[in-house]
Amino acid sequence: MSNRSSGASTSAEVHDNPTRWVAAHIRRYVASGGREHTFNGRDTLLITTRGRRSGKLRRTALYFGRDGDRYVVVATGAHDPDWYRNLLVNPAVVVQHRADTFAAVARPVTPAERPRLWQVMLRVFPGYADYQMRAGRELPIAVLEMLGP
Amino acid sequence: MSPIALPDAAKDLIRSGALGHLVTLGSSGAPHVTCVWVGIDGDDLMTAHLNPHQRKLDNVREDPRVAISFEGTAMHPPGLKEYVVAHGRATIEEGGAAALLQELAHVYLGPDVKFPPMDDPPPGVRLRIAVDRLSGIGPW
Repeated sequence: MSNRSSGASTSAEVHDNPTRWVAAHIRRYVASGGREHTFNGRDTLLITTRGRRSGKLRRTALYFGRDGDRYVVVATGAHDPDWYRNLLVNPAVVVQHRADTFAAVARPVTPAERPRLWQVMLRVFPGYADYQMRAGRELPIAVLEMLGP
Repeated sequence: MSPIALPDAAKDLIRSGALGHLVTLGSSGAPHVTCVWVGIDGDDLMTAHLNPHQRKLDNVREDPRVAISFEGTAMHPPGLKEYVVAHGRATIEEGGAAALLQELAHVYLGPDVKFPPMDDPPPGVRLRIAVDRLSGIGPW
């Protein structure tokens, strides 16, 4: 259950995306030690960001692409989702992929790398093309770079 | 803009995928209720509609007062199901319906879904509800 106290917090308690099917996927992912990492047959990762206003840790699940050692994710929707707004303010994130959990630095793609990484993401999930057409904005792409060796 | 701040617990309930039961008032004063997908923009509630001539939208054009309820899953003593009711005033914003419906489809339907399904949806309208009061059973 989420912590329902109000105000800024820096506690280590993690608050999962409240959307039921997302929360259920995260619970399965974590409880299985990362073995149940796919959704609809696609690989997913879990990303934990620090809430830009609340200071709380927020976790959600995303499809991703790979670019060398880096993970690549797309922010869909009519507006920037909270996880994306959070990482713009607090780029230090925690990523779980399968059984591995690691600290990473998140940043938006540069204009120069965007076209290539968009193609990477279209291969991961072709439906991003439809989402982009109707979003009314350029869907942001973020790269997650692992810290340390 | 909502005159009150929506508590995180209320936002979590709304983002869980709970349908909103939206009540508007007809020109005769008759209540009209319908179920809607609801998003959150700051402290405002947002709905999206491809057809700008729905009854609920015509009602809001005449009388902006609305109420909307959401049923949760948590139980509170002595065994009452959690729910939240938001009271407020709605305004209609032109366009942007398909983008918001696609975003809400990922809450209410799941991932990997294209909604609305057509390639070239009409602009539609969005309903913005400025919330001035919450009631119900729960921490709000």
